[in-house]
Amino acid sequence: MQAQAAANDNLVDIKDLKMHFPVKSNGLLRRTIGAVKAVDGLSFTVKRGETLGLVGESGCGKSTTGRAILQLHRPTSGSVLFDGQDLTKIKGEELRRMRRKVQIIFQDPYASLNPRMTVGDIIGEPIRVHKLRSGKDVRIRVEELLKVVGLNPYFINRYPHEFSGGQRQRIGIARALAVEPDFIICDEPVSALDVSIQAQIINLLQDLQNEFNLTYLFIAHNLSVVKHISDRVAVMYLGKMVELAPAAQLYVHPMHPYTQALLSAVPIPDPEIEKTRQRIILQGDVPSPLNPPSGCYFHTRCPLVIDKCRVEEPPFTDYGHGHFAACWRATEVTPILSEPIQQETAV
Amino acid sequence: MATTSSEMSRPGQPGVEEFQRPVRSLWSDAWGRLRRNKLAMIGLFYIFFLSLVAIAAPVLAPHSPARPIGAELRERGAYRQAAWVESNNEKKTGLWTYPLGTDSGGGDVLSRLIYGTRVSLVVGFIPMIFTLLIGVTMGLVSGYAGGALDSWMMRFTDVVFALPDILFFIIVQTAFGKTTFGRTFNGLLLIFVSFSVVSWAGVARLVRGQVLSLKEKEFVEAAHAVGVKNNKILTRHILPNTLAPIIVAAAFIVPGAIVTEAVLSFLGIGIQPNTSPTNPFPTSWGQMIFEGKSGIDSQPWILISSAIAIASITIAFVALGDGLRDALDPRN
Repeated sequence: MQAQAAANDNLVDIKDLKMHFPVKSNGLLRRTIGAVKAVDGLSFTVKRGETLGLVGESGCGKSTTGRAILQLHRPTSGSVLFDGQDLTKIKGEELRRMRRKVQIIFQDPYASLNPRMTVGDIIGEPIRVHKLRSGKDVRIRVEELLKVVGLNPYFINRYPHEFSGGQRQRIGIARALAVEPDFIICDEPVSALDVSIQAQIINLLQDLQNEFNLTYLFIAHNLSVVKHISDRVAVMYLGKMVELAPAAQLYVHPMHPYTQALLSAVPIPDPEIEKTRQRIILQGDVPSPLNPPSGCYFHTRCPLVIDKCRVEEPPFTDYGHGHFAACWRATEVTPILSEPIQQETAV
Repeated sequence: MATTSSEMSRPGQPGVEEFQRPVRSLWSDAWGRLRRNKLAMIGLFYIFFLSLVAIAAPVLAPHSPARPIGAELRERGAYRQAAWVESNNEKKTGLWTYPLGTDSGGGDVLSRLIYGTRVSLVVGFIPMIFTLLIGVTMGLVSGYAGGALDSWMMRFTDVVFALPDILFFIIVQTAFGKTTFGRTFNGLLLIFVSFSVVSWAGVARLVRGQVLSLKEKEFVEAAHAVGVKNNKILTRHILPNTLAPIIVAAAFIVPGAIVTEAVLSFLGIGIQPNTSPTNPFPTSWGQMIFEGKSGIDSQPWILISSAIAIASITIAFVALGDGLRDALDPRN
């Protein structure tokens, strides 16, 4: 494992991922009359053992990205290299075997558990599907997993509706862990929970990451949560990645105007500073992904827009120290740093 | 139970009782709610009672449902009144030997009524099972497959849905009524088949709608992500979650089929009269209404008793169906 890790630092390597959903006409002919470009050309890597945060407003394609990586939606084009294997090229039995390696934790703990199955069946299903244990050992393993996620093994015969939101989310995490995956996509795993429970689940996810050497893609829209858990953070807008940087750097020195606007919206838990907080209010709405704008997708709302933005799409450029941004005026937004900013010690 | 609870309880540890609470599945919750619904429970017990009557008909019926001949016919008399009715004609005066009187051929009305329970229950349940089999399969496949297959299957379903039921039954009866197929089980088989052929469309639509919403649910996505095969996803994740509305639909299909049989028999194209004394389905309530209508002035109880029987079994199923709907979907 160690040698392999050294040989290939990137667990997941995504190149030019596109996920377009065809829009069909009604009626029997069902002609394609357009496409929703939910994800439109994403390229990024997830390093082994890290947590990559993925943020952006509702409808920007964060969740679709997660599902396209998992092949729950087959991507329109592009490649998803997982441990060197292109997931978009495999199907059937081969893909089912790969599902052991990549798992997902869902946002809504009320919709993600089958109400007609007991906790034992829900967590036991992946174990049986991949024949990891058999007979009575499945039950033993499920009890073990319940303990790992901080639930009492006595709950094994209970049904999901008997649990609270936080407990259900723990069951969802146990199900993802059941196949002993390397990579887990956390699709807004705490957005539907109370704030006090959010912290518990975040801590559980971090403990599990250390214990089982997991790699996370952490999708969220809560910037504070992402800052806390992520090593690197990627910002999406309208199906494209606008900025990707180490967490500490992104929060202090955002290079893309959209990231700046997002960050300026985060409340500061200090009433004195909060009073003086300058908010960048973006004008207008997010354009429709059915018919995105020309040039830079953000130009319709960007406070720094110039003529070039309306015509030419800015490339996703490396500005040093692993800080990528897609903006013609990135260097004007923030001066390029000479030294990388060190991650401050965790709260 | 006592030993397990003493093993589990640790003194001083809070929430121990929590573990001793019995496991409640959604089904047992629903049963608890159904049991509290008086009307539905009366319906359920009445259906249960009728099932016993149907099974034990030969023991319960005081006479053979078949029409008597010769001396017995003369003794019984045609159109003998119900037991409590006096008549100036001694041959027509009610006798407790024939509590509900006799029909035009001297057949004992009560015995016919008891045997008629069999036809009504069989004609209610068997087409219901076929209807569900066809409808649920079509709905599951159509909803889950989606795309062009779904479009075409649903257009076909629309065509079936639009068929005028009674006209279809009449055509089928006219075409097949006299063939061997049409005569099987006194014509019951033909009724089963023709009813199932037209009534599955509603179930298919219902199930498809459920599947369309369920297949987008996150627990189905989770099953895909884990690598569960499609057939397992359908049977383990989707089907169990559509069962509640299917059960409710089933409870309403049964009285529909019973009334359909009665209507067809009333029109004279339902089950065919069978005079053999050993036949298990010699008569039906619909037939009795048909006969009772013409003899309403001579012996009203043929019509009254069979009409009450059909009305009460229909009400029982509807009450049960309503109760099931409330019990299985507590949100409404």
